[in-house]
Amino acid sequence: MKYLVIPFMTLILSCSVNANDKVEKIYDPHLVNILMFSEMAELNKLQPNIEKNLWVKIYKVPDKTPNDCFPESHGICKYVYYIAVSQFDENPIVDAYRLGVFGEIVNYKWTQITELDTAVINIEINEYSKEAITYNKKLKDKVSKYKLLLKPGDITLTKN
Amino acid sequence: MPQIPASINGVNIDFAQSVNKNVDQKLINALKHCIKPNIAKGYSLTKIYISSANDSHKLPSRHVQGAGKAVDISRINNLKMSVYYKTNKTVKEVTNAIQSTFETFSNKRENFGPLLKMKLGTKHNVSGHNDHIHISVN
Repeated sequence: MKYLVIPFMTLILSCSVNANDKVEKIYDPHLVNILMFSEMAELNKLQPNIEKNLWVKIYKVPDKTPNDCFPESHGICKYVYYIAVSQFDENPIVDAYRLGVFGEIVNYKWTQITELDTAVINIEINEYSKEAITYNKKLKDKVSKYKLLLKPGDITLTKN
Repeated sequence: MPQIPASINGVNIDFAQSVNKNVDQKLINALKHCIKPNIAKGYSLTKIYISSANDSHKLPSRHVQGAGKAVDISRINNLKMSVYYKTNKTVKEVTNAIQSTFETFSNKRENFGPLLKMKLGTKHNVSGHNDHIHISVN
């Protein structure tokens, strides 16, 4: 009997160890790209003299769509921008959004406001990435100005 | 930066060793609003214990946001809420009175404890906080 019990117990132990070692795979392509390829800008570190009512992080991920910015080569013409926003609380409302595809955001400027849980950030966006403009002198870069209004559960991006 | 004093309205304050007492003035005003010897009618408050202020937490907690905008109170008259809230009438009534009075403070934000779980004056679903009061300001 013992000749049967020992291999059986070994098999059980082996199976349980493997089960515990299983690591959960993440399938969300947005999240995978952000985790692997993004650069993060923590906007609350900017303009330290302005008190911020929300915690805001921006992630930019290279846009993989084919582009004509790099003739005879290949490079990043635009980025996909994501934004994550949190209240400052023990149990905050936290949201994340796909902000859009832009050349490159080159400037963020907070506005001093007193409204609770609200942020207004003026941003400047280049039509193409800095690398694309450097590589391809034919690209005429254009800077657009936007106003980003953030509240828990709601953000709007308005062109100025 | 303003500092939480050793006594507020005649009520003594003990601090955990790790406490950073430097906080936003609005938080000190909140404590002045709801820490009083006679805060609960018929019961005497002589001492509170602050287990955390501008310390021991990470963002997005208001404990460490800005100048420090949250405080945890975990003992009443040397008695731990975790042990005595359900059995000691003074601990219960004083704890309840602190939470209720904080709701009348103009810059109130979070008010989590054994009696209430409120945020910006409305009920808020949050776990824990049965062994201490967490109050924060805007």
